[in-house]
Amino acid sequence: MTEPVLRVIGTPATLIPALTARAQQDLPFRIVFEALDGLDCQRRVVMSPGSFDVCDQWFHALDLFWTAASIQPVETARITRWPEVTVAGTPIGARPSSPRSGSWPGDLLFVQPGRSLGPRPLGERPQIAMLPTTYNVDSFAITPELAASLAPDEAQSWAWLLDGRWHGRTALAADPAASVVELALAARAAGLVAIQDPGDLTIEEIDALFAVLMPLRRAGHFTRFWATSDDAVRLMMAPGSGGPMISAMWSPACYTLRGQGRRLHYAAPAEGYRGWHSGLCLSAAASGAVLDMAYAYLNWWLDGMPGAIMARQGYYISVPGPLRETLTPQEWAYWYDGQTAATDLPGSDGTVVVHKGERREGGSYQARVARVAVWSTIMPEHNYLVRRWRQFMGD
Amino acid sequence: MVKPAAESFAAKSPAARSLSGGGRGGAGASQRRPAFLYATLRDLLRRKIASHELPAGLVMKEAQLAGQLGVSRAPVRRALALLADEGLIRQAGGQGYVVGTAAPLRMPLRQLHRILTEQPEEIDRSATWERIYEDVREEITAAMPFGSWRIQEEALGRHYHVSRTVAREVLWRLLDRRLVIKDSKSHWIVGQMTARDLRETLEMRLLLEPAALAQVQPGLDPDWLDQAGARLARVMDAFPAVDPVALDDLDQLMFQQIFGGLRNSRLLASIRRNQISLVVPHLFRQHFPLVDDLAALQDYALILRHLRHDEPGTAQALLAAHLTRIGPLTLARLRVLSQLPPPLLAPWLMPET
Repeated sequence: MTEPVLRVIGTPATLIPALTARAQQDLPFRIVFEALDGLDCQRRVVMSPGSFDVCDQWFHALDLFWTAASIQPVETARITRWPEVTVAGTPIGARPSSPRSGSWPGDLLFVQPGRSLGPRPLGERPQIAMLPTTYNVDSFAITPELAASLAPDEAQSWAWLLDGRWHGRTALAADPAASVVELALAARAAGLVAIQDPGDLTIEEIDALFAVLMPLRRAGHFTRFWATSDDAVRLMMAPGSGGPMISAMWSPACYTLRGQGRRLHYAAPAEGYRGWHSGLCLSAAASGAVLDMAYAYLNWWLDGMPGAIMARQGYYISVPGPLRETLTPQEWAYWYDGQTAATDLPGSDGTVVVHKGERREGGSYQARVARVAVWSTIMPEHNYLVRRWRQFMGD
Repeated sequence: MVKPAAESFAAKSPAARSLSGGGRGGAGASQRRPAFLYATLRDLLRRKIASHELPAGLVMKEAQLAGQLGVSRAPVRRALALLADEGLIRQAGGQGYVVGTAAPLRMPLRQLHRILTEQPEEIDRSATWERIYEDVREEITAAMPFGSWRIQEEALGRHYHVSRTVAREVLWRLLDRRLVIKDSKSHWIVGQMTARDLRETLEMRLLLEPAALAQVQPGLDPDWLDQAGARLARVMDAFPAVDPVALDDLDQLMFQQIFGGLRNSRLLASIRRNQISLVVPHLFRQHFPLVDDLAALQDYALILRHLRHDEPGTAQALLAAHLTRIGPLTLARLRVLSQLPPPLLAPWLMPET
């Protein structure tokens, strides 16, 4: 009989070498990891649930997976630390204090009667559709060159993504679930498009937004679209001048670049951040020994070490308690508490990414999450939006 | 008692086509080639002879029949020859054909016309367009979630080897069901299906169908209701090991056939314009598991039971609850469909920018 293997798919944002190596070391079975870019990963889950056992993905894609019946419920009774799990730092079942736009991950957490998903737990040991793991709040990075060209007291704003001062030197992410939200915030902040809710654009708002974006794209305002954090790093490290001065960016890319000596500044825009939450879900096809291994992997994720590895690239985790043992007090103070770094701090690969005396933009994790303007989302008009987005990208 | 018209969605639809990237699950689909016109005509005449509406001795002439039915003479000639082979009619020496063996008998044209056309959907000069209608509809609806498309009328005709007039007739019928539109330049357009379209369509269904159900209930044939109930029960028993086409058929039963006896033709036409709300589940079922469809079948079974027991008020409330419930599911399914690669386009469709 062949040895059972756990197949995990996800994105390079979480399936980083430090994490996959540690999983292999800690867990008593073989794991095959496959990192795909976000959209490919989502398509894979929807189209071929038989090709993986565990999927590491964003909550905003959960409704696709669930509707396509690609995933099975997670039994919280089998999650050891379930009582400690939070959603973006908010206790399970509680509502976040900040106003919400987009997909608040808690809204689709629990399996309801009739196979729908909802915000309320059913019974003592409810079933959930996805186990919340990492989350963060995102914005964009600017170079020292751009920072130097700003007017004194100029407030940081998403509008900068559309600002003619950085024509030809602005980069965006390729995934519309993140980018369209950011561009909607940008266009609204710049006074270019009247948008009611950046997390739920109407057909008219989508058309109006792309009426602004298409000419900018044709004129060469946007340099590139990156699909993964590694792409973003390569893009910013391109030799010579003339690379992006401003780029939508995830924190791993930003800290990697800082570790390589780029003095990038991560923005805390006046309009608020774009938040996201990811988690783990189980393939509908997983059963028997493989399902047991999948639960072991899920439990491992909440045990402290993965949370520490994620913290060193700027991500938070749903169960922060055990991090007190896996992060140094200095690390906790910088990454979670938003305090000034008392020493140099390593990134997930050991390189120093934070220098003594630096302070994370936006403050503590509670303060940063409270400033989320929109959560990444697949909007109701997604299929219309995707078509316009493809035209925009391919134009 | 009014028997709902026997129009069936999937029975007529060509085999479910997979999208280019392939989908999940074996979407088995039954296939019934639309009848050739001569065969439709033969069947019609055979039925009318058997019921004695076309009495023994009646003289039937090729040109006369073609004129009454609004079809060309060739298929009529072939239908008559086939009926003669079967012995139902005999040739009357250059005078056309005579039914049976009785002495020749002539019938006023108006009466003949009434007999042949009383149920227009039976023949309807249709078969030419009908032969391609379902195929065209299937192509169009499969492309709907992925963008807006322009239909090239001439290429459509060429593709199916029919005249442009016939191609146009198909398009007019699709327009009637709001599956295509004509833009300001008079181009035929398949508009991209948006979440708003679906929401609005479902809102219209919620306004129209419960009211229509109360109107149509007194005329519903109890036997038909029993048969429909039995059909549902069979599918529910076998669920989820059922052909997706069987579910499409049941959707159409509850959307089309049940309202077939409505006296108010405007109401009926308004209901039928909401066909797109059935496109999403139809496409979804070709690619994904049917697991969420059982609840709809349970709704249908309850509605039919209350109609059968003369409780239209309860049936109305259940239908309203059903339509409310499927709203979010249908919208979620549309988002899932947008993850699929767009289908290979028919040569008569081009992207509309």
